[in-house]
Amino acid sequence: MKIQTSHTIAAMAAACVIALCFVTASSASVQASSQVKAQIAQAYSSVLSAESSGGNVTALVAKLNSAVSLMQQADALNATSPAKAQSLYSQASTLAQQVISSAPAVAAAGRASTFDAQASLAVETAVLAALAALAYLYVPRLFWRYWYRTHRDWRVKKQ
Amino acid sequence: MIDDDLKVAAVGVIVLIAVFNVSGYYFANRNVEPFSELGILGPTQKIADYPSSVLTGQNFSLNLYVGNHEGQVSYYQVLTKLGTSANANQSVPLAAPVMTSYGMVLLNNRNVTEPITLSLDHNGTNVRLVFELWIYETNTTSFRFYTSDWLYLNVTGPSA
Repeated sequence: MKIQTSHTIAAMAAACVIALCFVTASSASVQASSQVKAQIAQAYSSVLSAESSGGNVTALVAKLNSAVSLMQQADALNATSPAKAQSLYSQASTLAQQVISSAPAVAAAGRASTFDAQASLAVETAVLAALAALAYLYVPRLFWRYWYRTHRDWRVKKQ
Repeated sequence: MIDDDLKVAAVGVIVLIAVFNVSGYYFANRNVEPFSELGILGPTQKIADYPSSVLTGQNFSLNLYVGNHEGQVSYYQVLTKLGTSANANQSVPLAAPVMTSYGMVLLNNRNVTEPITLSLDHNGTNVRLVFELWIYETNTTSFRFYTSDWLYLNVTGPSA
């Protein structure tokens, strides 16, 4: 009788431990999921910021898409395989962190290339303005010189 | 007189080149009317061959088309839900549980066609399979409903 009681208590304790483990794993997954979602949102904000600075964000977007895809896979596996889901969340988190850390460099490169583009636009506009001034001064003279060269053999006939 | 015409023509051509040059720089990659696209394509990635009848619990394939013309990189989420013909409204999100969700980040003026596999658990006639497009907004740090599209299906077979 005593042995049976102790078996029952042991079984109940094991069940409690298993249930506790499940609840802990489940809450850890929920926490990991919301943490990765927040990191992806932050990564997206940093991509937007890099893009508005004129940076080429193609590689960042590809990485961010990979993170989103991993997060979705993890969400799908969360109920059936929490350990695998945790691993996928961790990979997604790493990718999101990489995007966040790379974005400032992309933004800086974008700012530099925007400055270069603006400088070259300014130079082009200045050259065009100089050309316009030269054209204003010399086009009539050049035109008449050319006209004279092409028409110098012409003779005027008496009507 | 001819001299003046020549001056005007020469300077006019150069000014036109300068205007094209400057406007090309300032208006490149700018979308006058930003918009996004959502489309449901059949299994062959065309607007055709949609399943009209599926078996309960059996997988069927479709393709999601999402296009970004918002003038910037956009983060989208497509949610699938089940509804009826009674509550069909493209401009408000359907108050129903989310079946599946698909996330994607798209560069400006790019689109993606993503193959998806779905299965429905309950029998029904004219079941409305709804696809909702949501866009992430950084100022509210949440997704905003954009539009929805749907497909009517008859789900037959043994009830789950």
